[in-house]
Order: sequence, then structure tokens, then C-alpha cells
Amino acid sequence: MATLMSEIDCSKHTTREINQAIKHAAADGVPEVRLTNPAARHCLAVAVMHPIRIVFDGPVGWYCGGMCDGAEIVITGNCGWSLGENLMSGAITVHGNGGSSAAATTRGGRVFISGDTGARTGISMKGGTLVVGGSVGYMSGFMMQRGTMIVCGDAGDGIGDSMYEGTVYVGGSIHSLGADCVEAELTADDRALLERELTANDLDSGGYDWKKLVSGRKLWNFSKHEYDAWRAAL
Amino acid sequence: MSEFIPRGDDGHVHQKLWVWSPETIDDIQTKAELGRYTNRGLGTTRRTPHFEDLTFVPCTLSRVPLEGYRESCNTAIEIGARHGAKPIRLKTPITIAGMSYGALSRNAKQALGMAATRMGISTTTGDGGMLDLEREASDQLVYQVLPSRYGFNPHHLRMANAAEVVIGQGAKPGTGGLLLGAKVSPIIAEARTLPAGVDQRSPCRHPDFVGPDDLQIKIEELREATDGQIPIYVKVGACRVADDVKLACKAGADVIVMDGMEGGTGASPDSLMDHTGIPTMAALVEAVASLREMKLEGVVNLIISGGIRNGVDAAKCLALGADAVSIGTAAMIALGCNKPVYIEDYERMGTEPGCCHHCHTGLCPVGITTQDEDLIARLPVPEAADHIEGFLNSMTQEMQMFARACGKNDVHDLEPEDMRAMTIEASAITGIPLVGTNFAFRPESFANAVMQAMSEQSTLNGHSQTPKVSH
Repeated sequence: MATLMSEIDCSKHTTREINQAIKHAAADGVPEVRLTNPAARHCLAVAVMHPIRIVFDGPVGWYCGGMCDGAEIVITGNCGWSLGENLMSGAITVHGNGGSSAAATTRGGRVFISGDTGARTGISMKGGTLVVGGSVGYMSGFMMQRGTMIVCGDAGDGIGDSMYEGTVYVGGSIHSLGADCVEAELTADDRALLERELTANDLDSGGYDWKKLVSGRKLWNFSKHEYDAWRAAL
Repeated sequence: MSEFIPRGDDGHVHQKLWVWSPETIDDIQTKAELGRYTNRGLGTTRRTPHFEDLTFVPCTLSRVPLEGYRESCNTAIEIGARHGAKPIRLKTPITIAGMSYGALSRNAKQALGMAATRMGISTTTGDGGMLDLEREASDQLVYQVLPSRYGFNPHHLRMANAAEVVIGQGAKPGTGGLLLGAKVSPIIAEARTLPAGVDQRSPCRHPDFVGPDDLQIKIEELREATDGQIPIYVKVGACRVADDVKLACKAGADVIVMDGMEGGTGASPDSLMDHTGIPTMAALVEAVASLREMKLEGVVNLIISGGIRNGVDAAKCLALGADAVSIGTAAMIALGCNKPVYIEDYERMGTEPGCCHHCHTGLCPVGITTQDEDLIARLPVPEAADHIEGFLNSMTQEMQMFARACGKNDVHDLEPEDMRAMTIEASAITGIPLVGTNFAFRPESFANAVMQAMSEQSTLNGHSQTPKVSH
């Protein structure tokens, strides 16, 4: 398999061959690689550490774009669990729905999913920006540490549970807040950020009832004066 | 049960009750004051069935030993080659267990790395990512992938010599790590992307996968991220060992690290340390049996950890079927943990050298489990590295000593037959015969004994033999 090919038919290669081809192309400065027939295969475009545009023509499986640093990935289909896990920098765009744990533990970069995502979306985010055009499942934003999560649709049970820091914006309804997750006042800066992020992803920024969620910080350190908060958390 | 003490001046007999012992009373009143469970470091206070309950039976007339001080005895082993990755080469079958930079000071981590390199073994990162000093000091570094992913960096992963997916730890299986605010200094906080001073309670579940089938995909992701070049370990806290070993093998692990309940920790609710998991010796026996059942013994390597104190324990682990042992607390003690120096600082914490388990406070008098600069300065790196190297050397020598005495020129040739059990309990756990008998107190042994007695009775009565019970 040529290492610098700019179009790869996934059906003809192993996952290792595909990833090696992408990495070599990125290291050699190839600007774009297009991949056909990904057929929801797991672990595609993992740990690509150089800038390159990677386009998947179809659905991808788990961990697509995981641990990347600097790549721009576009997926014209749905994606499996843990999209962009531990993303360091770069961008991932999904024109479809995401699975559970989308953008888990991202440390930087930008992830946009046009449709809905499953449970634990944005779990343990340590940085970066996640925009979900649809709704997110239960326990999304769990133990979030830093970064920004924007949910244009509804949020499932326990959004923002045990957040340390970071900010979650929800444009639709919230089924329930997680432990120590509280609503904060939406400022002009917040509205400007939302407009900027939505516009960047070709979304209409109007018609939402934005709620801003942050950590209540009651779980940062144990206090016996906060029994109720700790009972809920533990 | 109660302990009688002399009649008091008031004429009453004073008794200490077993259920409401002074320790129990103190525990209740402490919790009432704190309003929460109590935390501490180090490990369980329980007396567990232990390697101490086994003894070697070296060569005598029936077999010939090797010369203890002259004949060579191999200790080296390669681990992690199951899927063609570049294996970890251990010159002696010991690894330094994962302990976080955060729980440990940078000096401690650097010294561990230096000593491991000198000994030709590996050391391991921890919950909080890789410390540059640790990487520079360590020829072979195992990079942990923990549920929290604090400090996880794929560039560091790709610099590692192996990756270890941590499902749990022996001291507190089913529970995440704990780093209390006193140790979350600004440097540690930044490394973990946390607010400084926060009580960090790590998650127990991984953020990106849930069950064993998911783990298989996670391992595939790690292999893709590292181009298939490094072995993938799976570390499990010892609970349902037989099942967990099989699931880890199926998920594609190259190496399983089984951590028993005697395993150490920098901080944990003490009730968890005393009431969760199973002892290391029992876990090892179960793990080996499970690998054997799958015909993967020696294919998937087994590292055992949890309360390994010296080369004697290590030799017994090898004899029971481990490929290597991992030490954490013993390495810390070799560094100087609980050393009788700076006595006043121990006293300030309400403890004393020899029984300090205040790692969670960040006030470690000897500079090991602290982030306080003045305390860290009490642990000079070169001297600390020398001490660990010395201890690792002693462990190696002890393993060789027992192997030679048992007539083996490779420590990995030690086997259960080289040992006898000192207690019925140890015999029942290991299947090794009790001293003074040829009987292992296992269920199958009893069944076989009954069948044999019946067979003998049948023969006496002129009937054919009863078949033996298969194991």
C-alpha cells in the first residue's frame, strides 16, 4: 500500500494499514486524505499527530479521531462511541449522530456533531469545545474539568454531574441536573460565544432558550455542613 | 470474647468488649466528629492469608541443590510479546508499580526510575500522567491509562514502553483514586487540569468504555495509537479473579497485572482497604488456574502485586506461577518511608516511625508522599535511588538463593512442589500439601480421599475399583 495515497478504500485494507497510511501522509505534508467505505469500522484515524484534513465518506465506529493532535476530520455519516477521545487539538465534524461518550476527556480542539449523541457526552472534558446540534443522553458532562459544551437540543438526566470546572450550555430542556451542577446567569459574553460557535457550524443561533450550567463547587472539598450535596454525590 | 482486667477501685470488673473495643469506640467517635468516613494511606490492617504461610522445601538427599554462591541462576524474563509488540525485558522479575506523581513527590518518582533503570526493570506512571523527570530516568516506562485520564497525553503514551489499562487496584477495587486537597498543589493541579486544593476523587469507570467487550476496542485503539509497537497490560484489583483474567485475555491483553487486597495506596477510605478484594496469594492461584484453563499460561504474562515485601515473597509468587512481581509500598519503604528520622514531624501527625500511614495528609516527614518543597528536599534523589537499587538487589539475590536451594538454575523454574503449606488455610488456598502430610486441603482432595477409601473397601469386599474424581 502506497503511504502517500490521498484516497483510500477502507474495504481493501486493515485498520492498521489505513491508520499508517494516514499518519505517513500527514507526516509528509499531504493536505487531504479521503476514505471511502469506512463501514463503521472502529479505531480509524487514531493518534494522527500532524495537520491534515481527513474525510470519511460514510459512518465510522468507535474511537474515530481519538488522541489526535492537529488533524481536521470530517465524517459524512454517524459515528460510534468515544468519538475524538482525548483530542489534543484540531477539529472533528460529524454530519450525523454520535454515540455515547462523544468527545470524552478532550483536552483541546473542537468537536461538532450535527445530530444527537448518547450518554456521557463530553465526560471528563479537560478542555476544548464541543457543540452538539441535537440532544445529549444521561450523565453528559460528568466530572467535566475544563472546556465548553454546547447542547442545542435537550439534556438527559444528570447533566454536569460532579463538574469541577468548565461550562455547559443547553438550548432545549434539561431533564435533571447532576450532583452539584447549578444554573448560572447567562451574560452578554456567553451569548456572543454561543452565536460565534453556532454560526461557525452553520447553525441558526436564534430560537433557543439557553441555560448556562457550571459547578456549584460544593464537592470541591468535603464539608459536613453540606451533607445533602455529598449524599447525592456519593 | 472479652479481655478481663483487674477489678477497679469502684469494685466493678472492667472488661474490654470485642465488639465495642477501644478501637471501635475511637472509630465511631472520630467519624462522628469528621462527619464522614476516615481516610488513610498505605494498606490494609487485616492479617490476610499470606505467602508467610508457605515454606520452601529445598533439596536434601532426594534432589541436588545448586551451589549458592557460585552457580548461575537466571532471573531475566521478557513479557508482553503475545501480539508481536516489542516486549519489556526485565533483568529481574520485578516491576515498580504505578504510583502517581501527586501521591508521590517528583524526587521519589525520579529515584524510582533511576533505580529501575540500573536494575534493568520497568517502572510505571500513575494517576496524573507522566513526569518528564521520570521518563528521562526510566529506560522502560509503563504508561498507565486510568479512568480519570488526569494528565493523559498521547505524545507521552507514544514515548512509553508499554501501556497499562487500569481497571482497578487491589487496595480499593471498584473505587477510584483519591488525592486530598493538601496534596493538590498548583503544579499538581495544572498537571491534572484541576482547581488547586480540591479534594480530587477519581472516577472508577473509564470515560470511554464500560464492559469487557468495550475493553477489546479500547485496546485496539491503544495499539493503533502506538502503531502496535508496545505491549498492552490490563491491571485488575483482585476480586472475581478467574472471570476477570479470562475477560482480559479475551480483550487482547498481553500482560495481566493482578493486584491483591494487600496492595498499597496513597489515600483511601480505610473501610475499603480492610473490606474489599481478596488476598494476593489467593488471587495469584486463581489467576494461574484461569490462564492454564485457557492454555494461555506463558502467552499472556502474569504480574502479581499487593503486599510483596521481599525476595522470599517474590520467589513464592514465581513458584505459584507468576512471571514477575510488582512492588509499590516496599519500594516506598526502601526509599525511606517510616524511617526513624524527623521524629517530631511524625509526632506532629499523631504517629511515629514504623506505623505511619499518613500519606494522604501530604505531610510525609521523609519527602516521599508530599508536594511540600521543604519536605521534598529531605529526599535526595541519588541516595534514594541507591537505596531502592540496594533493595531490588537483595530481592533478586533472595529469589536466586531459594531457586538454587531448590536445584533450579532459573528463578522461573520454581514450582508449587518446592513448597509446603504451614497452615490448613494456605494449603486450601494454594493446593500445596500441609507440612507433615501429603494432603492438600482442597475440595477435590477430600473427594478423592473419600473415593479412595470407598475403593479400598470395595476391593476388600471383592468388587472392582471406584473411578477417581476428576478435578
